[in-house]
Amino acid sequence: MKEGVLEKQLIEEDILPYFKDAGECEEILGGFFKAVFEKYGEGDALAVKIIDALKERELVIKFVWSEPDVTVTLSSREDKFGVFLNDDSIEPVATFSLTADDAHQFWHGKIKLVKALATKQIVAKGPIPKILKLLPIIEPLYEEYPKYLESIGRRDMVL
Amino acid sequence: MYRDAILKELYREEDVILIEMARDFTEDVIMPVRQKIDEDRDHVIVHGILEGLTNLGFMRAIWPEDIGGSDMSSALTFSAALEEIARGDAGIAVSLGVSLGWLFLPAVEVKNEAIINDFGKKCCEDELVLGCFSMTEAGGPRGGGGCDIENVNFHGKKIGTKAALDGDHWVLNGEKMWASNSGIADLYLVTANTDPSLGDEGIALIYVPADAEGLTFGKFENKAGLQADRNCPMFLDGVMVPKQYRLAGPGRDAEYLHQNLTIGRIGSAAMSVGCAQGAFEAVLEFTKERVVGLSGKPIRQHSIAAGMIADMAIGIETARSAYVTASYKYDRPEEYGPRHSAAQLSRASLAKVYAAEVAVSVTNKAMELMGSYGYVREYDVEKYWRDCKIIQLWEGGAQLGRFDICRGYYDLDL
Repeated sequence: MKEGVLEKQLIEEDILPYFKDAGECEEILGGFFKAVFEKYGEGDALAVKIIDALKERELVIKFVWSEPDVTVTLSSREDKFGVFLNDDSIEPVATFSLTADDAHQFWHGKIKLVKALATKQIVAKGPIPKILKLLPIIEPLYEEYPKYLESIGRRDMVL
Repeated sequence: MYRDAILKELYREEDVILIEMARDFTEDVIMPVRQKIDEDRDHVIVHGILEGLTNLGFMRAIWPEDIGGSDMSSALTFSAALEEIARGDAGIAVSLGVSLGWLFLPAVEVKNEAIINDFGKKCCEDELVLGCFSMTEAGGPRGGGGCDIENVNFHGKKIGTKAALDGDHWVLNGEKMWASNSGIADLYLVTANTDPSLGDEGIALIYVPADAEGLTFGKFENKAGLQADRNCPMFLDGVMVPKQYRLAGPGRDAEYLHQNLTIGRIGSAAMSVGCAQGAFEAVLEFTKERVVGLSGKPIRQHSIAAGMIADMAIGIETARSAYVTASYKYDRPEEYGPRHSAAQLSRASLAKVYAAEVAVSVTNKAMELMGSYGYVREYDVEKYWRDCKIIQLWEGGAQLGRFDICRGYYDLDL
């Protein structure tokens, strides 16, 4: 069997995690959000639409991933704008807790959000109206994540 | 989906998203297990579904933001979400609706600190806290029963359950029956009377925790449908609760009893439309494929079937418009009258009476169009047919509903 094929099979069979450690998770998943914020600075239309929507709603979103344990905070605050890894100093408006594997699948659009919230596959904390307004904003990112993985040479991670 | 989009301009952005979430939840969580609910005697599936709705934040929706709630208490949103959930299972919808709309919302509106502190905070931590609004009584030779208690013209004189203040406690004695979530709720809001001679001033709404001493229950009713909604007799024998557990006080409690009737009828209308919509969608699918007649055309391409389908659609859309209108006006008491007023109850009753009749008619027509397939469990329609009938019967039924409709236009001495 080709090298890497077995590994991929083991990941698909839920035996190996997608990310080998916290560092890889920060680099890939955390890097994805950093790329979105960078594109915002460059005036990319989709990034501007998403980040402006976060700013308009004064949203600070924290993703709490486990296995491996990494947190990513997306802040639209003027005084603290950007993506912050493993930083507890910024108070989030909404928090989403899930495993890193589920996060990887989620950003591929492979996880139905409502069912995931209902079954606690994803646990959301924060005011429902603001969380709800977030959902249509982030949906376009499901197409961007696989493109981002390809762009950083990680086609092997594309589901 | 075989329906028009909701009238988005009537709703806030987050309301539309919540309603769509309810729709997705129904599709992804309720529909796959819908046919197992009637046999779910121990309510394992039902409890799981209610927990799922809690995890989505429905339990904390109506509470104030300062205790972790979402301050989403609009009748417009609430009723549309109930319609979506009822399309999956009306019993689930009523179990949730009663807890939020009938039990907790009054406490939020009057700012009853005891209930907010003792129960609201749990709800805001996404804990499932089921509620029961214990209103109806058995009736019998002295009269009473649901219609008499819910008849606003009787001013509570037929409420048999008594409440007496003893120092710092209310003491309740009496019996209730039929209430949704009875026997399984964590908290009960009991309709009682301190003194029938006082009329509305004597009506008391008092919260009773499930573990109160002296509170006991009879056997669960074995009904034709709506099995996800538990109902049983309830007995109060010297039940004592802190005096702060009275909702508001003399006069105001009666207003909230009437307000609960209003929002209850709006919710009932919405759930009826959900049942009708579910049956309608099943019929559209079935009649698309199945062919009949020498021409070999699908059922729905035959004129008699097309006429029946059109009548179903007319009823559903009209009923939906009726409850949306009633909800819209309920949310604007400053313009359309206090929520406990005869005018508001009239509109809500109109919506409920009509929608419930539509649901019965649509489910009947659906079975006719599907023939024997409509009569068997695996084709879904028979469950809608069994579930929707009780919505027509409860809250005083179509007959008391008609009295209340008239009361919006003139004084009706009945």
